[in-house]
Amino acid sequence: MKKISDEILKYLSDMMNDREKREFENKLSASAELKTELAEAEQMLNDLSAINDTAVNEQYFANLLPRARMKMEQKKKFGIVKKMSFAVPVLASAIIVFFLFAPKPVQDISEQHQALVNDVLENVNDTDVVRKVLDDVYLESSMMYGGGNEMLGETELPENITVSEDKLFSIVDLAYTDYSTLQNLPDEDFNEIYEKLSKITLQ
Amino acid sequence: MNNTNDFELIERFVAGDEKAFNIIVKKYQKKIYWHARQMLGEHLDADEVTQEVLVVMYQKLKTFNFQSALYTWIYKIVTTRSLNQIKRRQLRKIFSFEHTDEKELAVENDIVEDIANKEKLEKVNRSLEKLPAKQRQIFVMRNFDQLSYEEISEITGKSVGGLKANYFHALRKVTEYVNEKD
Repeated sequence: MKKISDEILKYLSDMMNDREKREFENKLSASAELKTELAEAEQMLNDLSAINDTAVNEQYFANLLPRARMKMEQKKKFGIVKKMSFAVPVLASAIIVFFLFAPKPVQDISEQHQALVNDVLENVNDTDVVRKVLDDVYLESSMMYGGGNEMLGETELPENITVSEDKLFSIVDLAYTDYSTLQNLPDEDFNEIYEKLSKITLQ
Repeated sequence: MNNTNDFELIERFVAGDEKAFNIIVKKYQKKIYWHARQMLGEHLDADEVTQEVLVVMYQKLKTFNFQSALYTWIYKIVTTRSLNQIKRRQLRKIFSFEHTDEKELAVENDIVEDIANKEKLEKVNRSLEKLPAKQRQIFVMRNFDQLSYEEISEITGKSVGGLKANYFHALRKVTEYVNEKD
């Protein structure tokens, strides 16, 4: 078969404008040779595209979806591992950053404790909230002033705490025996305490 | 290709009907495979791409926006994956990761069993190998997938004029090769 002319290739590629197309089709109707050349080119393309009808092992297509689903499962598992492998260094970095940049605990907090106690007692009506805050205050105070887990009666509290003794006992003692309540507080109460502590720390 | 039916199937799948996905796959799996096969020229790569496309379809079908036909959306995935596979193969060649065994393996596992058909496919592949990847992509879509320039334009994001020019050059190379061999 001789080389296909660019004119025919242009026609087959639909690259001709309307005028060129009309001229080509006029030429085509007048030339048997051009008709044969075009028919041969079209036949060649048809032969190429006929591979779409190639007979294949149909079992392949029957198994395709189950195999793809297995791949999906593998990807899912790999995705979890991948996420975990990403989470570990992130967590490690977060811990390092926390230890490097976390605010250092205030050493002398007696004034803050005092302010906190007063603030809580004067402004918070919820006895649970008061109790939990005082729980922390009491424990920290006892560590600072009385040394560890000593009995309440032997604990020295910061000076100038304006809380009557019976009130202090009734609140702090409850907190002392129920230390875990801070962890069990509802979010709202906990946030309230957190807010108050933050404000006091800023003073 | 019936869009309404496809859209219904997608809606059913998104609502949790796994069977709808199976129907979609059954409808399009051969088109996906043959597009990949004609782009890549052999079975193993085509199989890898076909499976990848099914996985992507399963994961992304929930984000289908119903603005285009489903087959256009699928062709976008399969043609992009095929081009990526060609790039990967080129890289493997550059770094000599590709073993001669792989070609033998591809022939052994081929789903085309008839020898005459295998030879025909091999001939087509040899003529397509002469084309740069993008020209091959357009030639495959136009000649084998029977897509219009407008459809190819929607899939590839290229202008119809540019596609026509690319197809013209691809056609010239392929016909020249076939003529030489004949």
